[in-house]
Amino acid sequence: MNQATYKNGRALFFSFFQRDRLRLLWSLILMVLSSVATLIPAVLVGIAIDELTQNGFSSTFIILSTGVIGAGIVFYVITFLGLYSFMTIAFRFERDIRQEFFDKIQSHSLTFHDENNSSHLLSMGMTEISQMRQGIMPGLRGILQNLFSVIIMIITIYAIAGREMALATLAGFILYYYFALYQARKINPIRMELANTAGEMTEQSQEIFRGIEVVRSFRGELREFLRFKTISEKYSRLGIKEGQIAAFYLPDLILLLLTAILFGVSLFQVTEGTMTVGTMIQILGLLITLQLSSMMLPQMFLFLNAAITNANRLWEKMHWQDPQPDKEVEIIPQINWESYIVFENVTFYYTGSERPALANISLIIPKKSKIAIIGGPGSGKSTFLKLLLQLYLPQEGRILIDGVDYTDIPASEVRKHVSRVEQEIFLFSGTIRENISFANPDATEEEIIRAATAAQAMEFIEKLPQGLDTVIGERGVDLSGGQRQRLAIARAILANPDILLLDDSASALDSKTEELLRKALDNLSADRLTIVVTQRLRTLLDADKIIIFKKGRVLDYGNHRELIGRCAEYQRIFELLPETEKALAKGGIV
Amino acid sequence: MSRSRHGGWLADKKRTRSSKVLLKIFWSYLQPYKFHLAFVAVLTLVYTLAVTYQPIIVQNAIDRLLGGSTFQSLLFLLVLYMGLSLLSWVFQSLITWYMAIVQNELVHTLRIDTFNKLVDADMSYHGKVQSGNVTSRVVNDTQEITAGLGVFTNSLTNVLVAFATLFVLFDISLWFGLVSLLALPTSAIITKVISGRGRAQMLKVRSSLGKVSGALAENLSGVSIAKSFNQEERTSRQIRKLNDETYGYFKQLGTLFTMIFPSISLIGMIMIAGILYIGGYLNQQGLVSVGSIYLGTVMVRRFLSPIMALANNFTNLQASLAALDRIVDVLHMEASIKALQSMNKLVLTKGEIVFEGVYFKYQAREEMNVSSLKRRPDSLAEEERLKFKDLRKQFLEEKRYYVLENVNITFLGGKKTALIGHTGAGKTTITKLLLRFYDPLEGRILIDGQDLKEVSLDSLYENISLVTQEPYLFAGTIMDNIKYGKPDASDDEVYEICRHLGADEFIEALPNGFQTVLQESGKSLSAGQRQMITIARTMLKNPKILVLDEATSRLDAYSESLVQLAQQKLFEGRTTIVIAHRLSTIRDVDQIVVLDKGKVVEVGDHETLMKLKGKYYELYNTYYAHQGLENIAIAS
Ligand SMILES: Nc1ncnc2c1ncn2[C@@H]1O[C@H](COP(=O)(O)OP(=O)(O)OP(=O)(O)O)[C@@H](O)[C@H]1O
Ligand SMILES: Nc1ncnc2c1ncn2[C@@H]1O[C@H](COP(=O)(O)OP(=O)(O)OP(=O)(O)O)[C@@H](O)[C@H]1O
Ligand SMILES: [Mg+2]
Ligand SMILES: [Mg+2]
Repeated sequence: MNQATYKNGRALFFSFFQRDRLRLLWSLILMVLSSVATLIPAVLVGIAIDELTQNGFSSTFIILSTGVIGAGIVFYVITFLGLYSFMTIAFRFERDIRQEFFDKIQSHSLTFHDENNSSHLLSMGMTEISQMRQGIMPGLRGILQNLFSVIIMIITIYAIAGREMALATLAGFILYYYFALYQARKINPIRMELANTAGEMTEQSQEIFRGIEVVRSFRGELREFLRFKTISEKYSRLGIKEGQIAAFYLPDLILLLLTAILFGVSLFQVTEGTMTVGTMIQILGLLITLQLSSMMLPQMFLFLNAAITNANRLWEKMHWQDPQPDKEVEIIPQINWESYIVFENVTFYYTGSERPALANISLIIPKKSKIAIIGGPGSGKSTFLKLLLQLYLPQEGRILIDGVDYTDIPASEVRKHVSRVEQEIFLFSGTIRENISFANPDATEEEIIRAATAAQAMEFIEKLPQGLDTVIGERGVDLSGGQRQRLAIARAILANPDILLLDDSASALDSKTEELLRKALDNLSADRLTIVVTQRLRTLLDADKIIIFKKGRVLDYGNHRELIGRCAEYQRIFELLPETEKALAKGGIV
Repeated sequence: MSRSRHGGWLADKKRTRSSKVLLKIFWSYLQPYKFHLAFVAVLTLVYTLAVTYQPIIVQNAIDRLLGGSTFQSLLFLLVLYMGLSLLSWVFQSLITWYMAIVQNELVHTLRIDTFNKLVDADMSYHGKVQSGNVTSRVVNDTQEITAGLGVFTNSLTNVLVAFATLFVLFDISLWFGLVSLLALPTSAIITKVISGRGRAQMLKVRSSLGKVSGALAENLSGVSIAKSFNQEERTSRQIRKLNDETYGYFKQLGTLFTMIFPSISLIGMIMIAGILYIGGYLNQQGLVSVGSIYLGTVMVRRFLSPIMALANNFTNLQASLAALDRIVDVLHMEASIKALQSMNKLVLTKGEIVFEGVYFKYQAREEMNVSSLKRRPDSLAEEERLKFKDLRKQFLEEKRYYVLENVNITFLGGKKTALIGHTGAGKTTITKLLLRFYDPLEGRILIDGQDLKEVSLDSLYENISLVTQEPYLFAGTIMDNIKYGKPDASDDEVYEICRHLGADEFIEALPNGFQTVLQESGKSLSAGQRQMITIARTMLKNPKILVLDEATSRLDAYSESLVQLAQQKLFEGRTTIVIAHRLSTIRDVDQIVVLDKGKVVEVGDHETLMKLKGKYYELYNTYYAHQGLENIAIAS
């Protein structure tokens, strides 16, 4: 994966100029030529009229007039070519930045993703990058084109009307640009606020509609409405403010007055006899042409400004510094993944929290064993599994497999051998088949069916109208809780890992289904390490070892028989069960 | 930005209303701004006259110069020119100023109207339409409509300018007028290209960008899955492919537009040359002055640009109308589940809930869209109504997709009922019907004899509360989340509930305790912690009827027992429905309902059902056999 780096946001934005230099140079040259071509007709019309006043409807006049069409054709060809190549570079820029952004963001560790809202990242990846392109085209392009035109026009005026006129025009345009930039700077913060507010508005409404069931059943409609109304009002106020600042646009006035003044001076010079009427027409024609081409300039400045702001924001996300960067691993160590795992004083904090999610964990997980994990909500069970998958690295202590430190193994290597069924199931929109074969897109039909059968998912898949090819919606919303869970189990089984992690994966399954699943898993896990977070007792009894977590610490570690004898917490779990009574009646728990 | 601006006229769906109808609706929204708009119209008129008159001054000056006037005698023309420059600037600015007000206020009104409608829309609508699309109705489409308003006033200016310049041109010479009319067929051709090929290509760009966005969204929120399964390269490749495709479409579209826009300039040049030829010839005949030729060259270009702008406006206007059409769809959408305040209030006496012959199926998986027919059968013509009846019957007969079939259950008032059954049996669906997220296709649901369809939703939700299977939390503090159903609760009440549930401990351990801000549905909490918060939220609301859908599935036995104790203490003597797979969750219930494949198979208390030796007996035994408690005894 190509992972470009940039010094700062500006560098990211202006990397545009380094991407395809030859083509860019070519398109800039064409742009200059196109600026010349835009101004030629105005000059020709002036000359033609002089010719007409002096020599009447002569053949020179006709040639000059035809020249206008010629200039038009030249303009067309040059402008098309110039625009075309510039456009190509600009769209490529958008495409490439989007790809770089995604790759970079995806490669950041989960710590980054914990801190960042995914819908925020999405709008950066889509809208803000599109806006960066707009900063280039039409933004930067329009500004450059305009600058070229102004320069060429001033040169032309110098050539046809002398220094004073040229200087006056120059002064006018310096003022023009000054105020245009000034105005852009004034509007830009409002624009940014508008964009942020729009983002908030989108996020808010998305949140409400995603949780519509909760909103409705708690009668939150009115409150959500008021909340939305507030933000919508804010947006509309900002919009009005922007419109009103933009309304009295000084640069326009400057341009109008410049035209009027040059008109006046020309009038004077013509009456003095130092200028011909044709020249005056040329000057006016040039200014009008320029007025037309400057019409969009304020917009272009805003585009450019916004693009640079966005580039800065994007850069910050792309160049996020991982507090625990991966070690550069040169040689992938030879590891026997069927070996035992050692936790040595492992402590882990999520960023921003002061309390460790896991504190001082030390234990040895025997090879090819069945481990069960129990513990209260938030006691660190899921976190423990995430560390095994190297989704995070512990701040203190070491995890060793086959004697090799986890930090010396690349994450991708770990994940080749370890698979997890996550607690909160995430399914991709697409077919069931695609979801199950996620880890291995080349899986055969047979493999997929085998995995689905083992996960007890085939039972319901078969009943769907399109079977494996049924398309499931946004995050699998149209499946029941247990159905989603079984698809995720099938997905992990298909990956055929050496170490299988199940995070409370039977919580939405009925006992019958769970039993079938357990049997299937027993067959599968005969010679691999399985670690299961569970609230179901049977799994505890079957486990070779049980880890009891409490508030991030290992309270106890041993098999059922040991724990039931020595661990009060463990005993309590059984005492709490109504069925305990029944069991007790049959002879009691030791 | 460009996406939302072009989104509308690219709608894949055909418009269902005529422009006339839509404009009428639009006009009703403009009523409050009548005076603003009238004022803008006057400003526009004056502005047009000013800018049209300016070149005439220049023409005048040229002719006088050629006639040998002195500078003094031309001075007044210069002053007039300057005056008009100022005037046009001021008026233009005022137009922008007022339009900013009208547009922004209008979009605000539209936005909140749409929002309101959507919040009240049927759950089947929300089931079908992705939340992202719903949001785009509210945020993007409304914006698009107001853009149409800008187009409207802009068109007004353009029409005025076009007429004024055309008048001047014809006034100079019939021939000048005729040359300038060349603009008309040109603009017609260009409009045709834009709305034909342009539109088609824009559509491709849009849907392709949509795919990129969808893939990006999914891969960003599912990033841990891609990482876990080592599929980062693949997702990257997937994005690259879509990205490349989009680039291709963008390039095609760009090529089309880069071909069109300079061509307008070319046409302008041809027209200017035409004016020069004709003007020169006529000048020789003494029919037009040199000044008039100049005026002609200025005016043809002036004429061309509003005509082109109008062509462009036309497409933009189509965009706004299409957006309006979609919005009107929403605004006129009549929820089949009505939340009329005027309906009777639900009065609870015993709290008995009865499902009477309830049939239900989700429509999302249906081929035929009966829901649209179901919406307003009375507004249909007789013939259509018959057809509708047919379809409905057909739909009902199509058994394959029934999620609930002839469900008859009585949830005893003041008692605790357990709902059990295999996964996918339809348990969650029952809760959804009970909360009236959907209405049954057939049959009734009664609470204390009152049909759910005849009581107001407000009174329903006041009395009944659900803890959903999937916990959903809002961005905001934990405190706000717990108070969601009872915003006026005191903090102490919240602490109290959390203490009962044993949730206080972990909340207080968070960096900011109860004031900790959750983001993205609480992704920084553990699954069980999230579930605890949703339980606290519901318990705080203190409903008379409580529905728990796998509410404790993510909790350990100890935490679950705390929840059960709290529930016993706080909800003693109230109707409670508990759904659970863990039979430990449903100890001490008064009644058990066993659901299988959408049908009720057994009802009764534990003893009765055990005696039946049916489904429950089987479930119970597998559960215990499975839980291996006998083994515990044996093992010891
Ligand atoms: N929004 C929906 N659109 C279409 N079908 C749905 C939708 N929600 C659920 N279903 C289907 O309806 C059936 C019943 O689902 P339901 O969620 O009621 O099951 P459940 O009994 O709650 O199962 P579980 O114990 O797994 O939660 C399932 O086959 C499911 O696929
Ligand atoms: N992404 C995160 N950012 C910050 N804190 C987190 C994050 N995920 C979990 N935590 C916190 O870390 C602790 C351990 O969480 P973990 O998810 O490991 O618990 P668990 O044992 O799996 O609980 P459950 O049984 O509820 O799933 C909890 O206090 C939780 O609030
Ligand atoms: Mg967990
Ligand atoms: Mg369910």
